[in-house]
Amino acid sequence: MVVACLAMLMVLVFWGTLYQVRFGLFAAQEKFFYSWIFLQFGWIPLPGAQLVLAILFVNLVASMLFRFRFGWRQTGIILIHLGLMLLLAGGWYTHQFGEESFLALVEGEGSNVSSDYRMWELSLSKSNEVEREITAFDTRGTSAGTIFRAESYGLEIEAGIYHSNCRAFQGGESSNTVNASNITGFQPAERNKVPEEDVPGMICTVRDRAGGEADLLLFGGDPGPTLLETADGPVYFQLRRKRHPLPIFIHLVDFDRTYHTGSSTAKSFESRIEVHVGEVVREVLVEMNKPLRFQGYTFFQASFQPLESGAELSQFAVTRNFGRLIPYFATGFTVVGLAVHFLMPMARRRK
Amino acid sequence: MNDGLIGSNLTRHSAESSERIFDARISKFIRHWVFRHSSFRTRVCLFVAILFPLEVFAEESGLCLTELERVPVLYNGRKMPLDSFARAVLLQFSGRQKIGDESAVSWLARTFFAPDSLSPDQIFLINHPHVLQSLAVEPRKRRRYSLADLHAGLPKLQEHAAKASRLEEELRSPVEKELIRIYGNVGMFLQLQSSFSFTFPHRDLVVQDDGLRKEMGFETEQDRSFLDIYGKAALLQPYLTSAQDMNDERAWTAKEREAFRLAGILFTQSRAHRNLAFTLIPVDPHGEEVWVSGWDALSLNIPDGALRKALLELGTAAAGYNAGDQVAFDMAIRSYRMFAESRIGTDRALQYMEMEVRMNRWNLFGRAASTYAFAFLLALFALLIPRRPLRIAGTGLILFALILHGSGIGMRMAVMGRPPVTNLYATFLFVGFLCVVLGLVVEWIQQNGLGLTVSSFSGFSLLLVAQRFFLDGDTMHQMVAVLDSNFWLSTHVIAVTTGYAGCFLAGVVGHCYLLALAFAPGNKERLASMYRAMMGILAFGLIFAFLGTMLGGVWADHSWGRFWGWDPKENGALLIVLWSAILFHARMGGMIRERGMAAGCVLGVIVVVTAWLGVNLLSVGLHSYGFTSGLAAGYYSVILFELLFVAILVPLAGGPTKSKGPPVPSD
Repeated sequence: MVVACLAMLMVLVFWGTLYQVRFGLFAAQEKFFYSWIFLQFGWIPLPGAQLVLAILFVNLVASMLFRFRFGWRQTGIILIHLGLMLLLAGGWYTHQFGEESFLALVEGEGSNVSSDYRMWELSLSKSNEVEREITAFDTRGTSAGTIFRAESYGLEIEAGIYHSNCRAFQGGESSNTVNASNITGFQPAERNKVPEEDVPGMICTVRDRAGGEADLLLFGGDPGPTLLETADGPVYFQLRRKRHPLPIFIHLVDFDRTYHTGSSTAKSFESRIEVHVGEVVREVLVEMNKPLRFQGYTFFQASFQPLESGAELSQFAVTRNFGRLIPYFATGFTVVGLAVHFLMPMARRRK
Repeated sequence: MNDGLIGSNLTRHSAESSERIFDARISKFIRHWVFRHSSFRTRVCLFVAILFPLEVFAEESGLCLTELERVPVLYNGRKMPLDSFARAVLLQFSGRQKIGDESAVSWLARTFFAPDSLSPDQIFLINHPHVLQSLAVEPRKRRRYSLADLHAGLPKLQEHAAKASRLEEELRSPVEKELIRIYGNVGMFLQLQSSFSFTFPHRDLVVQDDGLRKEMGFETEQDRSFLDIYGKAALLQPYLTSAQDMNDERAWTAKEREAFRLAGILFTQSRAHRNLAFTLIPVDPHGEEVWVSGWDALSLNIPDGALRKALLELGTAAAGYNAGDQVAFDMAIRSYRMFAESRIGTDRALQYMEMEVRMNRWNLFGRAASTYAFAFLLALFALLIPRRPLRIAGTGLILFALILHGSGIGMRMAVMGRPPVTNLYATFLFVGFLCVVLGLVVEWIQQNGLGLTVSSFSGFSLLLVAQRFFLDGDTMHQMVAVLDSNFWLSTHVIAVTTGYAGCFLAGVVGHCYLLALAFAPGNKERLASMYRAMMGILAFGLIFAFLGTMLGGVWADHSWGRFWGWDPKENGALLIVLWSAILFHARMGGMIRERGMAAGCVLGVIVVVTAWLGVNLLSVGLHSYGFTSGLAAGYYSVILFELLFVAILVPLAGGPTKSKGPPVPSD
């Protein structure tokens, strides 16, 4: 059973790796590694890595309980398998509860929310100021007919069309939809290899308390929100990347990159940031391999982009993960276990 | 003058003789150390063994270039001695480090100081026959072509290459890629040829006006070099200003007219030679260190007396080279070098430049490889005729090669200031080293020649593969930012490569086991000890492969914020761990026996090679840090060979083996 599972895992890992070349890392992860079962050629069901790993885990627990003989001689074996169990459990925990998002800041800017890579939300607010009350709806699984109810705004929003990825265009035949940036329509596009690059679009019907109705066209690439007058006053609508609140406010002071003399090989990227925790402010330097950690959140230097204005945009990857140290312990256990297990017979033979 | 003569000759002698002393010391040490405890026969074996790898240093004809070799150059973002630059460039062009018997630096010196627009040096490697056809060049046996060969086809080459580079990278066929590569190389060669042309007399640069010529201090009416005129440019200045004040050209005096003509030529020439690839002069015009070519240093026109003097020294050096005047050449190069070194200041690259030149010259890895090869033959012999002296000789030989190999790795580390493994090339050096050490440990425990065979074989074969990677040119590139962490390079990378070494060596032993089982199944004792060695090495490999994989996770967690991301390289390392785990579990569960285990180890080589190279072939993901031509062919042939080996030898090794292995601990 173990051998079969491991062999299946090997096949999956190998196949999944080859798959990445053509369809990108994300697709491979979804299909092979984070799935329970996937269909090959549309009809052959095969177990995904999740399932195989789960079976392995159950198998580990079972053999721990029923098959292992406990004794000093088995210390190594037991340690190895305990470590592996911990590793699997930790991996599952992280996958299930971890959060990944990003924070893109231009020099001089600051923020206390990070944006999701893939998930989008429909946000409503009463004013366009910085400090404002926002209601947001996750747009995952949205399709024609999905209804969002915003009670405090007295609004009912019914999605007409929702494309996970689309291209917008302006001009052409005038439509009766409302959009702040004069977009008149969009065409669905194929999902990108890298799902971060997908930009969704949505046409929805907004109904207010007084029975007024309007068709809104919202595009993920809209530079600003679209304003709509409703019975309860003006409401700003925007389709944007899902926001994750951060416990701290981060202000980017300066981004710096250096190259090895006379070449385009990057030597370092670093961002000098101010971290505001409540009233307390401190300055931190975030570099490659030197992230900022704060209460389960970690901020990594991810990428940068020089802007036309001369300023630079620095992007941080933000992860939230409480089980971060589990793999460390698990690795420790397993390695010690392996060493003990393989060294013990040698030591015995010496005697 | 006398001082210089003595000085330069002295250094030359001391450099060469210190190398001879070094070699002599090694051989004396070994002679002393091994000979004391050995019989006459052993001595004979050892004598032959030691003589073999120590070739005599070949003297070069023409000028001695030891001064030039040490001149610092910036190339691909690394400060290196000119010798390394010459080798890297020649490798990039021709895939060789020498042309015929001529060293790279001697070729480069000719290219610099005595360029020939129809150079007959066959340096451009062209692999694809279609490229030859499209350039109308007659194919040569050795596939290397000179500028003279390509001369007629150059306009066509330019046209084709321009067309090819407009295509998107994925759409380019091998022919188009080759065209672009060759166009780049020819272009680079032409740039190299004009790197020092500012020191050559040029027919346009004759000062025709007698008065002006006298003022500039030139006695005869002959061709002058850019540098000559440039050095006297201050004398032209007043004429230029006065000429500019006058609107009417016809009113100019003969001197003004001549000054204007010369200035114009200087301007066009310096424009034509901007941004040459060979950068050897460190300047910092804006407080930031920039390296420029000689031409650019001239046209930057920095008010800097030392720089000006240094450029004049380069002119003297070129003249000295062409006149065959060793002393003048050495002195000029040396004083230029002192200028460059003073500009670089206290860079660590400078301190190790001398060492790098030595490392290039000693060719430690090449010598280690040939010694391993010889030791391998000896070890095979020792397997057939198990005699103690043979084994001792083999051990001594391998130890000697190991010292060469290890000091090569040590010198690389010193020069780069990095842990041993920083790129794909270095993994082969390091894994080879570890395999040899592991093999020697096996030999030390079992004392039956097995360890010698596998260690010398893996040392030789891995160094041979490493030599192929030389084709990339410089093997000591700078690290990209994301990998720039000595801590992780020395933990994760070392652990993973140790894992590779263990699993690879277990595979080599697996080959031996299957061979022994097939052709000498009678020797139960030998089979049992081989099996023990194989299991031990595999276990060692598994521990480190696991540790390395997980440390990789820790590194990834530190720098990308995730422990595991199913990146190809991560998956590759995982494959090794999984495969070893499968083997151990299958063995314990009784699904396979000794023969199956050995076959498994042999197939494990495929897994190792896949993790090691296959991933780079995919060229996706964060880890694909090195691409190399010809890699794919080697990779697939290893796979094919191992599959065939198992398919043929497993049935040959007979049915269920009766040989009783060691007691297997059951779980």
